[in-house]
Amino acid sequence: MKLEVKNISFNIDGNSILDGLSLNVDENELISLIGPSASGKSSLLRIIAGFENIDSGKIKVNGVIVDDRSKIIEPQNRNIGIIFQDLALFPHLDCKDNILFGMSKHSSSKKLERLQRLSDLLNITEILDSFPHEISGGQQQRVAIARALAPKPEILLLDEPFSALDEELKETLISDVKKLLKEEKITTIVITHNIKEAFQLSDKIAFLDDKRIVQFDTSYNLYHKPLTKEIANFCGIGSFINGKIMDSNHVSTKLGDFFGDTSKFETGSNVVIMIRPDDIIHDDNSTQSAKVIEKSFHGSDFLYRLELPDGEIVFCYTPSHHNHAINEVIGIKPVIDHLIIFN
Amino acid sequence: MIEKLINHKNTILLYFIILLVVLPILTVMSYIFQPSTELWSHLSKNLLLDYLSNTGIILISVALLSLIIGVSCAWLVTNFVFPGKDIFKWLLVMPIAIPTYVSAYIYAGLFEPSGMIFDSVENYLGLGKELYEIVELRNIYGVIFILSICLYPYVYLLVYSSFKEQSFCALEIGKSLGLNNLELFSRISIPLARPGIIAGVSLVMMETLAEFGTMDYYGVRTFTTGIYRTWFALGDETSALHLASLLLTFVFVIIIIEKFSRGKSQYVNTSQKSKKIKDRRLNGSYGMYAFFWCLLFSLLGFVIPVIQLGLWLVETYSYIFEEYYLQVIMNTVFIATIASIIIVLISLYSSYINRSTSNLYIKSSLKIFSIGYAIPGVVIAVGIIIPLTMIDNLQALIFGSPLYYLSGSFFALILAYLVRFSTISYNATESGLGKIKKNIDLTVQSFGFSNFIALKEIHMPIMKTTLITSFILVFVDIVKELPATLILRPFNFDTLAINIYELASSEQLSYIASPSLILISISLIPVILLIRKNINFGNTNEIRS
Repeated sequence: MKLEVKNISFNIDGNSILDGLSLNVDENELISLIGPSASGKSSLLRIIAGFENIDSGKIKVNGVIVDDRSKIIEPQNRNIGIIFQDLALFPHLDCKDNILFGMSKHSSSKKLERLQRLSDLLNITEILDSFPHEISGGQQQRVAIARALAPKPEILLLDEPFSALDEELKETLISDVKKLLKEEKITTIVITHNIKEAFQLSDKIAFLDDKRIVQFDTSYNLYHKPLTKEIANFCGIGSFINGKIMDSNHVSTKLGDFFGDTSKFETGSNVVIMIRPDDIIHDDNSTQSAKVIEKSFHGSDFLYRLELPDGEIVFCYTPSHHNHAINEVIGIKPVIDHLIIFN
Repeated sequence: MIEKLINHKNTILLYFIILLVVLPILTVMSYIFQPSTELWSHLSKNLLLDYLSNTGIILISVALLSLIIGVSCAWLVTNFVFPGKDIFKWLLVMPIAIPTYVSAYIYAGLFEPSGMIFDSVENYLGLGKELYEIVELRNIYGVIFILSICLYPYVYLLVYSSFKEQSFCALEIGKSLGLNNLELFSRISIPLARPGIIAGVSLVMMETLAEFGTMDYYGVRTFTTGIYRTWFALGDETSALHLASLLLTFVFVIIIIEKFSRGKSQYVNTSQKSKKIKDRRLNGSYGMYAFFWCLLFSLLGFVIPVIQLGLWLVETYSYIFEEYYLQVIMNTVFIATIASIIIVLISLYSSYINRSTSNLYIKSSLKIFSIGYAIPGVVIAVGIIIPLTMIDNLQALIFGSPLYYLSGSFFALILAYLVRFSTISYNATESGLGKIKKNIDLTVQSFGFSNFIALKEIHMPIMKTTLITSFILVFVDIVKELPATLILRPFNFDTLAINIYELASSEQLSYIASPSLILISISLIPVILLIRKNINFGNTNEIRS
């Protein structure tokens, strides 16, 4: 276990920010930390880095306690790298000196080797002599990552590192960074508010809400087996429709009967079922239909907001040559592989 | 957390620095309730009223005159186009470069019976000596005149910035509501510029209360000259300190009034992209009035004094080559350089601790750095002598050494400069540090470096310009400072300011030309920096996007 956060609580000026939070991260794991804004994601990162101290609980890195209130290892001695949203590049040093800043205790041959490797992997060899203000935002991001990785930190923490970049840059940067982190075998925690980014980047995702980690799971499970409605909503667009549990693997709704594991719920109880846009397929031959009440064009597809005959709402993606008018009634067919049911 | 790094050693050092700065103030204030010497009863019967009324009259008159001159010139220059406007807008700042006491000596020389003015009036008009009696300068009116023409730039500069920042929209809305020009000025521009006006006038008042050389030379009894005379001519330390405590009370009252009048209202420009004020052309005679108004104060404050010094220099240029004079320059550069470096480093250290700590006791104690500048040099000097002499006496009692190490040493002098001038450099370093993001500090920490490595490797290089600027500002103020230097300097240690003071005192006015011109040249450096920052030399009609 690389990082163990055990039942910690943390207050700022008497306000509880985190309470009973636990999180275990394995060696070489790349995890994303997501959650509503002001849920304490940044606080957790600062606590792991050592800039804040917990009020109870325990934090271990490599099995060694770094903070349990009685024993606190200062941030300088934790060997945890951090990259802030604003990057905090040193404006008076060129990129090369920025990257080598944390390596002042190493030999110059070691420095050169590290610089070479990181700048190759991150594609920044040409800008090493430039100053931070002379390069683009994406390049600054790469320099900040190289600087944090240069001294081989035990853990790397990134606080919304990609939020300032435009979509196009983000795609290539994220895949470059992911490759680099895997090659360098560095345990990483990334804060993001962008679920797409989290899906693309991480091995596992921790959802922080209500002062603790609500779910810590793979991207696939988070999307398809969310533990709470909040997570279900956070992971992507969808709507809830009412249903009734018929037996341990059968739920009945206005959209039809669906089969899956419903054993958690009492037979006969009323539940809500999350319907994702990809659960509804547009099919003109279907016997079921819904009225278009809103649509938005996404290039390759349309996202339709549809009203079922009883007034419930579902979303549906269709290829963009299926251009229907508002108030038009279209045929739909529900195809649900993963039942997402809540009380 | 950063504050962990501010260990006990640093806390003790910081409190020691704060103690050093507070000590003279506390010393002086401790004398406020003990006036019991024989001389004091004489003073309070005969002179105290003089001190009070003269100081009060000078203070109010100078404040009013600087207000009128400063605001009117700033209004003209920022709102209108008239002949010479682009020159006046920076020329009107230049009087700041001339120390008030130097102007006092120059005008005293100008208005002497044999001076330039009466000489030429007599030569060309055949009368002059008769006029001399009428325009006698060496009295309270002379002091008011000198201080007003020297100090109005403080108001001008701050109000200029306020006017410049005002959005054109505010004026347009005023017009759309039917206000005429006078109403626009009095109901929109002036209220919006109020913070600048108050700040400028209170600076003028602080400088007036601290002024010593002008009153001393013109023979006007005020608190500063009274303190000096009581201590050094009459030898009554207790009464001098009591006077000092009264003057300090005066200062505190002004500080409090200034704080209150600022109030809670915020004068922040609310529209982001504000169109700058478009200048209106002043035609015909109005343009001429504006021209002559601005010309008058540029001439009085800067051009005439410099021309007079130039003429005197022609007479006395051989003085430059005297060995003593070289020594004076070296002394000045020596003490000002050392003191400025110490002051800037102490300010940097203190403001860095202020940045790094969340300890409210430390933060509020550091506020002491913001009042030093308001305290007159004379007051600081007498406030320093007392405790240092006490330590010296104690030391002499224990070790039997008759040497006075602390009082009358470079230590005392540098301490006085620290108390008085750390305000400037502390404010500069604090705002310089404020521009560096906190995450930079945390990033340095995450690499395993201490905070003081961060200060040395990161903050100081980034703040190079700020540090150099505050060094220059402090350096110039030290070079100009007269009373504190006069009282605390080590025996026979003459600086440019002292040299000018002594030459003027011995009525060798024309000899002050070269030391004064050097002093003015040095002072021009920060003035030019100031002008470049606040007033651009080029065209003003640009609209910033």
